[in-house]
Amino acid sequence: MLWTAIDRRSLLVGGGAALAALALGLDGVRASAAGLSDDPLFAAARREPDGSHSIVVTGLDGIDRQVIPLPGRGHDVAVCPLSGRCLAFARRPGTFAVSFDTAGARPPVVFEAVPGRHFYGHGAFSPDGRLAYATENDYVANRGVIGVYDLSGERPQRVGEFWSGGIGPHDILPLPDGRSLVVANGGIETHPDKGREKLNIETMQPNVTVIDRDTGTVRGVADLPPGLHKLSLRHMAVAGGGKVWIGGQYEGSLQETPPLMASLDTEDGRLRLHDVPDELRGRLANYVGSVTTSRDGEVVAASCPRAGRILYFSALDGTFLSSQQRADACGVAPLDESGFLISDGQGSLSESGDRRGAPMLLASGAGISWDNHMVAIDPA
Amino acid sequence: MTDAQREARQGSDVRAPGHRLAHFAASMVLTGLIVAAGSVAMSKPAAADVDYSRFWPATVSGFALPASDALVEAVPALASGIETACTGGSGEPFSAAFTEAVEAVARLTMLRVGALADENRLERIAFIPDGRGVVRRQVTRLIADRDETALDAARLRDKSVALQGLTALEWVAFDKDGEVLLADAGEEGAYRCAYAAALASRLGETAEEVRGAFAAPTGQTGLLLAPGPENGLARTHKEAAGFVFNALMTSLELIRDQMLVPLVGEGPAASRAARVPFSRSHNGTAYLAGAIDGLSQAFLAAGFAQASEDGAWIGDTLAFERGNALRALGAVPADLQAALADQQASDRLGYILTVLTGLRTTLGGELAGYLDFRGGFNALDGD
Repeated sequence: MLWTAIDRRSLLVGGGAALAALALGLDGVRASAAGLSDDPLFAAARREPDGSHSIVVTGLDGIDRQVIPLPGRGHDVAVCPLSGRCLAFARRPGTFAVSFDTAGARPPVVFEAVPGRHFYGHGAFSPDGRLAYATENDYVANRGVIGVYDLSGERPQRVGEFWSGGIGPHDILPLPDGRSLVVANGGIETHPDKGREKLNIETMQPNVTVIDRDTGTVRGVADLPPGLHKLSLRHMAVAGGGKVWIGGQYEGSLQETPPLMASLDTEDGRLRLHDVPDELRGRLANYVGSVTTSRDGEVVAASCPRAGRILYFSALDGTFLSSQQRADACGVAPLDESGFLISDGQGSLSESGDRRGAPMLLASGAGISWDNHMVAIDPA
Repeated sequence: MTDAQREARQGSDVRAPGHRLAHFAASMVLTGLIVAAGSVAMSKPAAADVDYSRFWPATVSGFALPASDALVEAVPALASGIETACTGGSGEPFSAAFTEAVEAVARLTMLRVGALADENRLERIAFIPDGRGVVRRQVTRLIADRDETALDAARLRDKSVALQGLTALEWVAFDKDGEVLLADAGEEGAYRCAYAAALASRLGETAEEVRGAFAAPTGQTGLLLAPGPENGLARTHKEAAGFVFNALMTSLELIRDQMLVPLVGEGPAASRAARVPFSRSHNGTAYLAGAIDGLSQAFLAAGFAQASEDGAWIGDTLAFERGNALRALGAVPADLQAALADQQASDRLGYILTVLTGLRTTLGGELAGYLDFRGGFNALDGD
């Protein structure tokens, strides 16, 4: 199997604390070390009642702790594993990003993509927090790139880039080895002159690529079979042991109902697809908007906002566990050990509870819309 | 994509990619079958002659303004009831005024958009839902601290939104058995009375703000009236109307999923009743009645059902079911916790849940289909 040519040793061997930190994920480490805070905080992009856009730090009570105005619609927020510093990125094909800290001790810094590039909405930090990596579009050459930013100064400085391994890199996350990044290349060609128009549906080739973050070397590429080449792999979560969970959006006919969830075992390079029960198949609008894992690492949550549904899978083997209904729900973030916070386009925050009945509404802001993603951060 | 293509695209990297180890075709294990059967429920095509520009102005004039007026008019009785109770008189006038205010708040706040959405006014009127007990914690701390700055309605506006609405007033003014606590006796009693008076004054001013902003459209009310390419909230009248429609559906789901489903479910009656706002003061049924009435009034005032000949029956159904639900609710005791011990009352609550479940399907499915409303913020153009 070609995947075995990956430098497995470096994927599997890493220094104790750092490896454990990345394996558990930031939230897992902090929750297990200090217990879940009484006032856990979350960050997300939001459309405000006046139509403007912001990044907001909120509590479970729905009361804003910090609101950072944006020049346009935001997408995801990346959280530094050490400092709690955050980076929020513009939604595709936006060109701005903002660096901020959740304590509000330093004013937010807005910076722009370099000419010829735009952001895809996601980014990741290096384990020491000095560098950040952003998924970007080199739209002239029609290739995905990972922009590398040095965060040690007053303003983030773009110090380089490397190939993403495909077209349309969307989500990017660090792997437990501390050296690798995993990138979901959605495979969809776009150009800012054409807005959000998809230019290559018939020939798109999504993949999941593992990249050495120090050298930019592509260390492994997991492709879908030709029959599923229209399944755009976009949003990810990394669970314990480095297994990567990926949600997709299918660009083919709605009459076709492929599995929308996949997992990549970074040890053996096996990409598996995970389906839902018959009664749900065909009712998910072929779209997963966000993916995350629980703090205990046992459950994967995936949102399907077009269908108004949250799906839950076993992180152990990908078995479908249950689903919940919530209109326009998209953001999912780990809450307590096995539960999730769910945000939606109607401004509400809900708690997943037992993950079967209706999510329990915690707060509901009028006239606002929470955007695709919500991330857990530590309180200031 | 071929190996050669991948290799070629690395050529211009700023950061040297290094030697590429390999291109790996990952193995595939398909744990589910790909089937071609089934499809996502599609909405029906919009009637070509639907005038989407009429819904929001009709909602403002036919619902938002009268409902705002009703709240403004309910506040003076609240204030005088507080004064009566706090000067040695009966608590009954306050209790009655509070019930009227709960119904007025429930009706108006079902709308959730426009002037209610600006400056957190909806939360300032009533902090609902409160899944984390924020009002209880903040009000209890405020009373313990005897915070003098909360006793001035103007300064109260700058405090937490959970400290300035009718939900805060309930915690100040009622005990756990639904009895009025207000009496100018002792230091704490005096503080409660002063804070309650400030809350009534604050509520009145917020209601005036809401009415004013609906009457002379500003903020979100204005944005929904004037869609356009530069409007960040709604580019078209159809988007604006869909925004309002979705907000009303959110209110319907809140009442159904978060209040009635737990109420008719399993578990201790106290915790089930507590899921309905204002059940502490025995005004849970008043809240539900106001909410169901407000939802019905808002949908009907907007004229959503009348926009399509095919959907006109939905307006009649809505009015009919509203009547059924309110009649059933009128026969449920005001003390919800006690009501849950009564089989007949529980059955009535179960019936109301059935009515709302039917309305959710009719409004969110069929009516949304007739109007070609295709979902919310995240569903419309995902990423």
